[in-house]
Amino acid sequence: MQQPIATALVGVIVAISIIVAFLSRKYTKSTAEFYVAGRGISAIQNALALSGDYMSAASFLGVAGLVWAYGYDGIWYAAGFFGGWLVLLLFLASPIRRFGAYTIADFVAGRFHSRPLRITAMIGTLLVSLFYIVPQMVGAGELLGLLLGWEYVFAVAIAGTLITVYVVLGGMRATTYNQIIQCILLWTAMFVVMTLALGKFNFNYSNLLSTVKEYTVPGRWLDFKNSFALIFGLVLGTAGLPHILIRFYTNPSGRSARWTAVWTLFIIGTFYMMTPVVGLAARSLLGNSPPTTNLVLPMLAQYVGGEWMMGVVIAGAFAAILSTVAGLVIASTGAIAHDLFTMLVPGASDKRQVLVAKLTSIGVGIIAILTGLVFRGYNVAFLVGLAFAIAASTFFPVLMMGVWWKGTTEKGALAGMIVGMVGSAVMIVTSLLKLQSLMNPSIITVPAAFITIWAVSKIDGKTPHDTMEFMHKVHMPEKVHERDNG
Amino acid sequence: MNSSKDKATEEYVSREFRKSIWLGICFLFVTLILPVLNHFTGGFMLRSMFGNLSVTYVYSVLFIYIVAWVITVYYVLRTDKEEEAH
Repeated sequence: MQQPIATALVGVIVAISIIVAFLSRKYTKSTAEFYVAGRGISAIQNALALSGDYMSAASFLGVAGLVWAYGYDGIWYAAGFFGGWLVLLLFLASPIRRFGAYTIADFVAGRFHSRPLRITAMIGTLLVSLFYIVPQMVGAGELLGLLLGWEYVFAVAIAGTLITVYVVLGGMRATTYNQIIQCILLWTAMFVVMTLALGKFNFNYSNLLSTVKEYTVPGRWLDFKNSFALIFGLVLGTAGLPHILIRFYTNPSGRSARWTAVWTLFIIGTFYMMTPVVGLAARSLLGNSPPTTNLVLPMLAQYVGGEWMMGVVIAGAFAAILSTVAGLVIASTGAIAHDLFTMLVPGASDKRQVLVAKLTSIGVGIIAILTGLVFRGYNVAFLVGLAFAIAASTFFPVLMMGVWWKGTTEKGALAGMIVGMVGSAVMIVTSLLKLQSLMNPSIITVPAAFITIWAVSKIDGKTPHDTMEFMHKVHMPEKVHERDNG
Repeated sequence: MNSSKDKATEEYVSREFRKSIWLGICFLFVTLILPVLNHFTGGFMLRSMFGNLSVTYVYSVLFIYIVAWVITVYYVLRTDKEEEAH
């Protein structure tokens, strides 16, 4: 055992997660409880859970690591991860909640009454979730392996098993309460490390920057084209992430969904403002000593606060991984057990659907572990950036057009989703094969998807018969619906 | 749905969209203009603003966040008020 304090703190998190899941187990008897916690999560609770869900290993370890490695260019990730929340608030938070379903496929299928669209949305959800799960599991394996001396395989298996157990036991409610605890832990860990690191520079930001001046200049890593494309992809990608979007269903109302986004913007905003300080302090204090970008934060914590602080950061990183993967497991489970199963077995009882959801969660957990093993060594924040690109291209255009333009047709939506999903996947693969130099394809694939939806809808012209009813349902305030219902 | 209800919904959606799109464009402009400014006015963006904090650095680690928070608070308070009045 290399780090007894860290191991003990990780053990505490594991114990808390299991206890919360055990206490929440009675709340998984219905599909509404399993997927959306009975729509009874308050705005502030939801904001903390969403922040925990969103601030993954890429945010906690990856951004500080990229700032350490590339300086200013790494800061793009912080600004992009944050900025997407405003787009989500302005365009999608309230309408999605007012629609009141369980998954994103429910939403598009409900808007267009289309089986092919439901299947495409399900595939998109699984693709985005998989791209997002891989870096989390890789992060878990590397972190616990290098810092606690655990075998990579063992570390990935432990993380995957724990998440699966608490999702299966407690569904969305246990996931929510665990994400709240994990959010508080990782925000506090980042704040304490930043404060201790700034203390080394007499709490003077300018003093810190004077020691790493060459790292505060843009262009060490990304050229103009790629920095623009990256921030574009990250900002629009957030509004297309299935595991984030489905959390809005857990709010009691559209107004509550808006306030959830507001609180989340404050929580994650303050978090991302800390990451450049930590990354640059690591550059100044540690130089080139961290072996990988993912280990910058734990090593800085050890430097400024000793073994205890390092233990807290490792526990925080572990919490970040657990909270994010749990959200992704719920989203993927919904895609398979809800979207696919209810389509294949339309009259299935609620009890049977919950059983299928739990079995699916176990399957998704196993896939998470296996992919974590296969993709060992890949860069965490970079892979998450690609998940954002697929989410931005596949879901954001169809959700935006479906929610705001009554002229959108089923064929237009389907064509746009396919263009976005296939286009982004092809561009990512060609970028990885170095056949083209655009690292984040959203700058091309998002406008392409929007144009496709618009053009095909115009040519098709067959809008669903209940489009105005849908518009009324998702846009009008709850008070109006109450009046409508007498 | 009857046509007067449809019309009311359409007007409401259109008003909401105008508000969201302007605020969204405002934020996207503030965010996406940064790489453009860095590229075309590099000298100015690297000028010192506070001690060793350059214009571009302050913009990326502070200004974008403040703009987003201001837009957020404005949007939510205004939307809550409009919904109350509706």
